[in-house]
Amino acid sequence: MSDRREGRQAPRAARGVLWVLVLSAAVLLAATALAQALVWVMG
Amino acid sequence: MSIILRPGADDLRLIGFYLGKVLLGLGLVLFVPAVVALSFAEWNDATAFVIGASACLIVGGLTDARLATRRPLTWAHGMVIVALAWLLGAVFAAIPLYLTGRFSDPLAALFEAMSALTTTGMSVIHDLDHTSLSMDTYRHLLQFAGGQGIVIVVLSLFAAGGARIASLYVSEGREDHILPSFVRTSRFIFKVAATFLVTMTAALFVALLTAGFAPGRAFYHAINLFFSSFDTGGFSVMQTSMIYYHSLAVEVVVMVTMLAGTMSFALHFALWNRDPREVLRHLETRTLAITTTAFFTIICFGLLRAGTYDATEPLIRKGFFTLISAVSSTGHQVNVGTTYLTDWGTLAPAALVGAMAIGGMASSTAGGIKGMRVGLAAKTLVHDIRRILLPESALVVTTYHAGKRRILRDDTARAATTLLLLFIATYLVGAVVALAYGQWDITETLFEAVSVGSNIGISIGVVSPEMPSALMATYTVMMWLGRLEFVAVFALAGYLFSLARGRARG
Repeated sequence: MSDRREGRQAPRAARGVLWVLVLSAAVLLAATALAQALVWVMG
Repeated sequence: MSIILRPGADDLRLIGFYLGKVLLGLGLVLFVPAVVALSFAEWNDATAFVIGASACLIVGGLTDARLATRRPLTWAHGMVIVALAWLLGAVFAAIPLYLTGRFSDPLAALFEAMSALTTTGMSVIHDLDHTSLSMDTYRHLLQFAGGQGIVIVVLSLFAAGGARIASLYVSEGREDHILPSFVRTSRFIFKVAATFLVTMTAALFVALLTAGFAPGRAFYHAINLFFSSFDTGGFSVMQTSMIYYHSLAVEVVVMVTMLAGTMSFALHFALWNRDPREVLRHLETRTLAITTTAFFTIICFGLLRAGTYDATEPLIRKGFFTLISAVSSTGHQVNVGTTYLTDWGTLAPAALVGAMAIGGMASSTAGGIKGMRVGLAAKTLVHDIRRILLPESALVVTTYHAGKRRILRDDTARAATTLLLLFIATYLVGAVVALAYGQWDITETLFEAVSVGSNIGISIGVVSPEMPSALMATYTVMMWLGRLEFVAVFALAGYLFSLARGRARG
């Protein structure tokens, strides 16, 4: 990786945290949808 | 027949020198709880932490002064140092724990220290709810030190140059070279940790305030929760772990923190550099997505069929949270341990055991077999089946994505399956040792053995301050083996053998 890509730490860090939040939200939503579907099917 | 050479005095001097650096680092860590203890007039604990810090600094300082060397490290040295660092680190970390008087005997203190440094999170402390602030700080800080790789941290800070610590880095089980220099890689790892420390502690602080905590207590719980969640440790300030908080907001933030902690630093690097597609393409992400979906389906099916829960909310807050706690190898609990045995039926705990065995991602603080190895083992199986089905003359090539498109090589496949088998053998040994006592059945012993061997920390009730000493010792070794993924420990055993039986040099 070039040094240039290591520059501007704050925006990179914010981007990293934001992506983790987006991925976590997607995981939680998918799990909720799966649980809801199983409750409907088996309930 | 190859000749085994006995390591010379120079080799032992080199190993001793770097182990001294580790002890110096541990001594510095011990200063934090010592200052907390002095600030809050916890005199008994302050004495214990000052004695512990002094022991580390004296021994570390002496080795630094007497064994100083500029000889470069070899792979063998690196492996032996890593294996001994976790062992010696646990022994020295256990000194202040035992001196506080909250552990039955020195072995219990060693178990707790190893549990912290390997980010397992099993605890045998007496009366956790009434421990001092400094003791909580120390236990959680130890997890942070262990999780971030105490060896690479200490050596990055003290060693003269990056290249000299290269061999240590790889034997920690972190195989990805995110950046060309190890010191720069270490800095990136700490930048990620520091970023999440600020953001997630702030989020937890707000969540705890809304749950009714006073600001001081909210901050204290938030920072400890961050340490134990991001470093996938699972220690808790309260005996009842996450049940204590009764807060959906806290559970959600902890879940996000656990997911961030179990994500490999290579994927963090991709996200920091505008490459989120790497996360979706990576073999490890895909493997964990498939296995976690399958395990959650089984858990929901099992819990609904057993009549444990009948709505979505408890399936998420109890079932999914526990699954993420297992997959990330954190070990935070939203259920009392015996619930898995009495209320969860048979399917759901079995799925949980499977998730704990696999654990999280390589190149993270997570434990277990790791999604990467399971993915590679599955690819190997498909590769072999294709080779059987296709004509003998056909060239069978299997590829996978991990940073870039890679060809599945025989040595990669063999390494993944060997480690997988070693983990399974360790789980079975742990289960059999516990079974020998006749106090627990196979479900309980296997559950606990997988949780210990994978450095998870979810307990079904076998681990307690009153557990038999031999079992406690077995679990301590299992945590050490699991954290170092066997290789460094085997290297240490080989080194000891060559010390005893090898031929003298020259």
